[in-house]
Amino acid sequence: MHRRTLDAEFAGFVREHRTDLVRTARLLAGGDPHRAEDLVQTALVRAYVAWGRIRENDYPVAYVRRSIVNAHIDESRRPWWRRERSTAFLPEPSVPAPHDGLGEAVRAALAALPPKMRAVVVLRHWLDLSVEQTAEWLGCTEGTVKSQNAKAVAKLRHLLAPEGAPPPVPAVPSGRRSR
Amino acid sequence: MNDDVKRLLAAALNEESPPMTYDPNDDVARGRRSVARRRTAIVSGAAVAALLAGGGAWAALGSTDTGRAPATAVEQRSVPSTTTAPAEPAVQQITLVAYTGKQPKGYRVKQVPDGWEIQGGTSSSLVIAPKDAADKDPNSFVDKIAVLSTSSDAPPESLTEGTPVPVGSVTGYYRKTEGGQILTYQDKASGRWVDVQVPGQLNWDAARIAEFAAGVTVVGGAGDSHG
Repeated sequence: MHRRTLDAEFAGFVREHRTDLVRTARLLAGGDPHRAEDLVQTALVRAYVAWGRIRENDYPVAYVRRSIVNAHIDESRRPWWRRERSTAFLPEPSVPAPHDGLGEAVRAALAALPPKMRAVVVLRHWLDLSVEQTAEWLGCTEGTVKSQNAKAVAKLRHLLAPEGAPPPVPAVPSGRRSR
Repeated sequence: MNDDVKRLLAAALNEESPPMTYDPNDDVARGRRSVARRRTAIVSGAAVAALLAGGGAWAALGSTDTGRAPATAVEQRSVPSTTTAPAEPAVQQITLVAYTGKQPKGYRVKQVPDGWEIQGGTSSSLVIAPKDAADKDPNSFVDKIAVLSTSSDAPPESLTEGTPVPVGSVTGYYRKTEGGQILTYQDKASGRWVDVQVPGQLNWDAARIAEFAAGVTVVGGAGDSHG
């Protein structure tokens, strides 16, 4: 297929899925929009290089999501790789997010989780992956996924619902099975 | 439980805030640049391999008993036998030399790569770079050796991922990453887990990284590094 056709196809894929990819990356990055953008850009570069192959998959967005997770885990293992480069132009000033108590609290709680534990939360609860799929994506055992998930949920509850205060979301009705 | 967590995650995204603007063509352009860089690297690597293959055979002919001075360690490592299959292109590892300069904060260093210097040290990181490196920022780790105390919230299983490698009297864990190599081990003196990040240009193997790491000691309560 002609390169221009592939490029146009890839640009269409980005247009369709980028917003969702950034949302996933923001959760992995503990709410940091700039780190999230770095993760998405890294993953999309990898996807572009492999586009001739992955475009034939049933679900190429899964490839990119997994690439985002891998970039997140890789980055967590090499703190402080500087990506900034000096430029002659100042970046545009960012628009401050509106004040949002719960959102800020959740972002802070997410950021307090270790990177891999945060990834478990995002894969299990945002992307709705099974325990088995999550273990495969993260290269760990299913037991590790279950224990990390349990610890993460407990920690989030602890951070978001101070002792004596009602939790910010309705409690799970009794008898409902969790995954 | 899962729906509750999902609602919390949705709240974390703060959808009311304006999304960062983007142009899909920027992602296409980044992809194209990556492809171009890979092609350049492949062509450069093939050219170097061709030169080394030709030079290796020439060196093999010259290694017979002609009264020449003994080959250096690097040449000996790279001289292929003329009776065996052609060896892979030789890569020259940058050797370690004794470090005699001022010791950095938080660490004690016995050896550094020849021609490299300690660029800076903090309570949680140590950076070693070529003496002629243009980037003198000790907070920038690109193309440099970085010795980092791992974060105290790192999951225990992440500390032992990789190939086991002896580091002095302890076991380190070696893995390759995009852009370099990492050796993780527990510093015997302090008990802290340490990451040694090494760039590819040193051409070090796991054993050489371990040799370097064995000469690094964490002192004075070096603290966490957080990513």
